[in-house]
Amino acid sequence: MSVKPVKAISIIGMMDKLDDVIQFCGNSGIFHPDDAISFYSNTQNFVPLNDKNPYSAPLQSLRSAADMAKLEIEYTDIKDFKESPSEVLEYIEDLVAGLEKMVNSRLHCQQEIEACVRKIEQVGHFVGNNLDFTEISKCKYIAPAFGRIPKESIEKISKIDNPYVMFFPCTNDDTHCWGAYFAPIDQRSEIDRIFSSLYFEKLDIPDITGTPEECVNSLKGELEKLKKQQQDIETDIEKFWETEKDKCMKFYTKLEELNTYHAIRRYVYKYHKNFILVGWIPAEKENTFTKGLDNIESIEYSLSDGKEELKNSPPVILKNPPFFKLYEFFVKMYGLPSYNEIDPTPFVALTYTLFFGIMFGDMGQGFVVALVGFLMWKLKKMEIGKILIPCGISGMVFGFIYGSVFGFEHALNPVYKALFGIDGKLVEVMESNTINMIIYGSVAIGVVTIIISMLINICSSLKRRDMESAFFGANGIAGFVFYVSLVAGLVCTMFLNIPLMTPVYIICLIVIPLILMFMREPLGKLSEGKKKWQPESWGEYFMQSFFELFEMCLSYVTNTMSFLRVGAYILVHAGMMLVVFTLAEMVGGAVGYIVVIIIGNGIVMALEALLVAIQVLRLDYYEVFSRFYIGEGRQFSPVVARQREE
Amino acid sequence: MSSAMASNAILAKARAMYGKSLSETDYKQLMDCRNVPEVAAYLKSRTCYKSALTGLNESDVHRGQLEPMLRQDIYFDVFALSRYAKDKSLVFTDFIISEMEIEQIIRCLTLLNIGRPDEYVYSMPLSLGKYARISLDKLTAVRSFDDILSALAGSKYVPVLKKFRPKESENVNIALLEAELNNLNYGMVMQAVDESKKGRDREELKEVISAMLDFRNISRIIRLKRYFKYTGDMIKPFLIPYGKLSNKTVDMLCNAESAKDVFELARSTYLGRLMSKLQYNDTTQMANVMLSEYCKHHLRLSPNPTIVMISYVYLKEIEISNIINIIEATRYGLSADEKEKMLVR
Repeated sequence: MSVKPVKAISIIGMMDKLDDVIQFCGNSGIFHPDDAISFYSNTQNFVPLNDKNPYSAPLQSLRSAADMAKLEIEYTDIKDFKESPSEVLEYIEDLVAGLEKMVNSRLHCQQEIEACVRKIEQVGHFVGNNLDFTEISKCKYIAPAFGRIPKESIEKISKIDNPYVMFFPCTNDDTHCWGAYFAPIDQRSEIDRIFSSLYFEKLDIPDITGTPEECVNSLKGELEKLKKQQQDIETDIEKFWETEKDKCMKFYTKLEELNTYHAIRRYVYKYHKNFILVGWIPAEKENTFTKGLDNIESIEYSLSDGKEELKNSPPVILKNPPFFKLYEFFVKMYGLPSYNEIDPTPFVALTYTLFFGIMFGDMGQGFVVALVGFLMWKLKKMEIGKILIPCGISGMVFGFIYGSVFGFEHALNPVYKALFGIDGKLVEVMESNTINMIIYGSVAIGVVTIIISMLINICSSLKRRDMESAFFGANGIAGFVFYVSLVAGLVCTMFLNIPLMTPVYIICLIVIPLILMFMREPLGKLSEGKKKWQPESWGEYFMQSFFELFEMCLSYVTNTMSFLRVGAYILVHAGMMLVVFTLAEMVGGAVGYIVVIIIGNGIVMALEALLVAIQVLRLDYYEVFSRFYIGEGRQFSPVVARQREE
Repeated sequence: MSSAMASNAILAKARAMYGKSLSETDYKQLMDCRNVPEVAAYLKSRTCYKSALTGLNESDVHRGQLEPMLRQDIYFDVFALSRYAKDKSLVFTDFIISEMEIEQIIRCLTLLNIGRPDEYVYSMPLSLGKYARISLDKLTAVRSFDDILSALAGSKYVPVLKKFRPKESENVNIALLEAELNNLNYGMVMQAVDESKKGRDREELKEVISAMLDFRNISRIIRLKRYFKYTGDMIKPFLIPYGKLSNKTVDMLCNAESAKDVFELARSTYLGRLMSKLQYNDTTQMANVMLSEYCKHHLRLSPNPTIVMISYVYLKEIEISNIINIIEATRYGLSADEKEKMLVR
């Protein structure tokens, strides 16, 4: 339930051993490279290796060629792979050239087919007009032009002051009119120019002959030939792939590995004839990793603990049991914890599941949510699906307590009778007394959550050695004493009739913590032993602190009240289902009643699941995380070739 | 009440329409296109210009055909938005219609200048004719300057046109005439704002329009200085006299030694604060970047329907100018990086 310890490892060796080290680090699958510059104080003679990655372009070409050829290339086992990188590159180059050739032929064929279809469509506009293109083209004194013109231009023709500008329409489509114009030979260029200005487009069929029907038939014959040609190319590609597939997969996997490992070189610095490579490994794998490194000659390495390298922001590996692990998704979405920060995942897991259940309490709907979550996870591999399963189950548990199954509020009464021997429900949500209890309960949940958040902040701040936040912050010990004393005082005075708010109590537990919070900056600096603890201007400090304190006090109230939404959603659910049942009764009839109940349940379920999921996340992010969590960590991402990940 | 609410619908409608404008991905895809037909095909199949470009033959596109089609889209957007304005709240619709009319008059006169007035009919936007208050049909019959005066008889443009009657065998000074016609239009929109609006609405609207006019003026001064080396006196007739900048400042800008000096002087005005926040590749691009940012800000935040509508239209104009730039750059085989530098976003 924390952040896994990591160790920084600094490897130094002769340049000729660099490839071996990179290969080893890559193969280990646990090496997270980092910039060496920040680990050394004197880096004057460090020269970065700026060599170009020779594998990325061939890899990209292979992927793009395979994609265009509609071939799926996958990673495969390459334990026995012996070919050198240059052989890999050579093979991939040949393979890509072969594939591209076939793909280009197919593309060319496809373009010809499209052009042929277009021509058939164009000539089709003239079918049935008793035309003969051959005869018309023989005319000596007129030059015909067949094509299409925008409908708007047809209107303009009547406004053109030229007796030879005439258009003979045949058919229309949505935007154009298909037909022909005829120009006297001596006026041809002028008439062509005018029609061109009117956006007339000629048929893109040179040497058109015969009747339109004959022309269409001849084009259809051509189309068939092209389709056959395309089929032959497809067969060629299939045959080529049958023979090359296995070999290609192996070379592709190796190329991917070479490309991935080359990324490590970006972090390598040259120091005279040596190289320096720095990275992180999980502390638990230290022995295995160093044993492997020992096998490489003439290299030196040194290890240091993550805690000693806090200034280099050690990468974070979260370590949580399976149930809590599901909720790492939310923590990562906000930002990973820093190396020396407390991982909030368990807290999020518990509060999220609990609050979701309370707010979405319905046995039937909870079951559906869990089922949907399971399907989202299994079928769509969606992370959120995994979270919905425990949330749905939690909803079922609270649904049992509220006695609600798909909105049927008394469906569980026989069960209660059998189990607990009571006639009614365990909790009657819509009763006025219960509503008050729900509201008070929500606030109580808020108070407890905030108190726990404060305690976590105190521990986390101490861990980070942030004394100001731990002792004098709004969520530190001063804030904790103030908040708990205030809540205890109010509860005792208002509900339990215990006069706790005595002057001594107020001064010691409310006023003094407030003063400490007011003075937190100088006090924090003093407790950390800083010499310059005084603010630059006391006047400015008092003014700023006053407003900050005012805002803090306000936020204690608003944050606590914010938890009212937990109770509100219990009532919202009952209210919405009441509306559904009222509508169902209004519709009447068994079928209508059932249909309305099903649709209503669907709408309420979708709406509430979405709203509750967002609201609970909001509570966690704003009311809880804002009290103790910084989330500025970075993920531990070792260099791993793809086939290892899958 | 209902008319005010209807005008407020413009806020939502204009913002929704802006939401359909070209995204970063669209721009990237357009810049990656290898030829003009590819650009046209992308615009026609994947963007909000789908309907505007229906009927365009992607395999044979030229700027002369594409640009009017895209520009018409702006007018149709304005008319679509104007449907929600039931009262005088939209002085801007009149302004846009006048802008379209001026564009047609100028096109007709340009053709007259080059001795081909009969060709106006080819480019005449028939679909916009019903919105115009002048007869575009009559413009098709224009064969002389007098013809254009009679075609436009009774319109607000005639007094301005009469001032530009050319002497025999001389051409109409199109550049100055266009500037004066546009100034007439700007003057009328300012007057309409004064008459139809009151209080805060009026001040806000005047403030926004004036700032936008200042951007245009600065852009003009920089261009005329940089590309034509115009002096202060030569520049002034091309400026719009309704901006926020004082006459003294405008004089200083016009009389600056070079485009660079204009830029530096502009930084010392109220525009400096805006300029310091922006990123642009070239000083001539700066004014448009500023206009774009200014419009985006008002489109998102202004509660005034007219301001939102103006902002939308100017943003759309900038977008269309970006598209035209991409098309031209693609035609001349410029790289994606070079195209990127020409865009205003």
